Amino acid sequence: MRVEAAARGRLTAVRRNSGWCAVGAAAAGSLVGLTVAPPESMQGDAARLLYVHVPSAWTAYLAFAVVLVASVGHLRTGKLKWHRYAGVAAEIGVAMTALTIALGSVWGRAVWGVWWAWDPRLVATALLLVVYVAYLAVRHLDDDPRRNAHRAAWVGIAGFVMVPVVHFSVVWWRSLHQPATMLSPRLDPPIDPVMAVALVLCTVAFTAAAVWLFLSRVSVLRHADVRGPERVPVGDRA
Amino acid sequence: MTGWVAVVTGLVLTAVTFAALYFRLVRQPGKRIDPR
Repeated sequence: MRVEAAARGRLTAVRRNSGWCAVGAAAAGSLVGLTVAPPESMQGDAARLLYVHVPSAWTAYLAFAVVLVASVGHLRTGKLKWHRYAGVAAEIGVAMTALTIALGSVWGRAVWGVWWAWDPRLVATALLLVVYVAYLAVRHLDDDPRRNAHRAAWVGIAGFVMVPVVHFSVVWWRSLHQPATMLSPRLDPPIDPVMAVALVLCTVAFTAAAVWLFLSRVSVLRHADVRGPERVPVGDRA
Repeated sequence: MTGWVAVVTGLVLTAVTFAALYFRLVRQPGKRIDPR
């Protein structure tokens, strides 16, 4: 019990620190990205959408990686807590993927002149969204929570295949979308150093905010369990 | 759409998404559960 209490204390500390880290990095990233960083040479100020579009995509990848790990954890141990972790991460990932598509659409309208193009990166990202919305639906297919958890775990593992497909779609197929800048194989990313600082700060802010949301939700579900099943938020009973 | 209109639209979309996640995952209206 003492070990468990210590672990919970550490998680609470991580949650609080990640919250403050998100606030600080968001403030610094906004300041640098909106005022200090120069406009892009071809796209002008519209390219400042980079500082939210890329971090939201990165956070979605990260959330789906957590779904993968938690799904494997559930299949290995059979414990429903892994199923819950996967569900929380999937909700964050779906929201971040939808945000990535919406931000990309606004950016596309500003620089390409269209809200949507049938481009490999855009279509792959839309498919990624559909896969994880389906994952969330599979979690509630049956009345038996253990069967739901088992099925969902397999979908969570198989669905992760879409993440590398989305990321490398700009390399594998001819795409209107620009290739990766920061996660490219090149050792010297082709980006202005100030723009790189703003991008890193915003990526830290998004990641820390996602960690805070994840740990807060896990804490909420744990409290709900302690107080009784009637208080478990609808849709999260596992 | 000018550059700054796109940027402001993007910031609003981001804020709305995080607010929706907060109210969906952490502080649901009508629920008394608090993560603290």
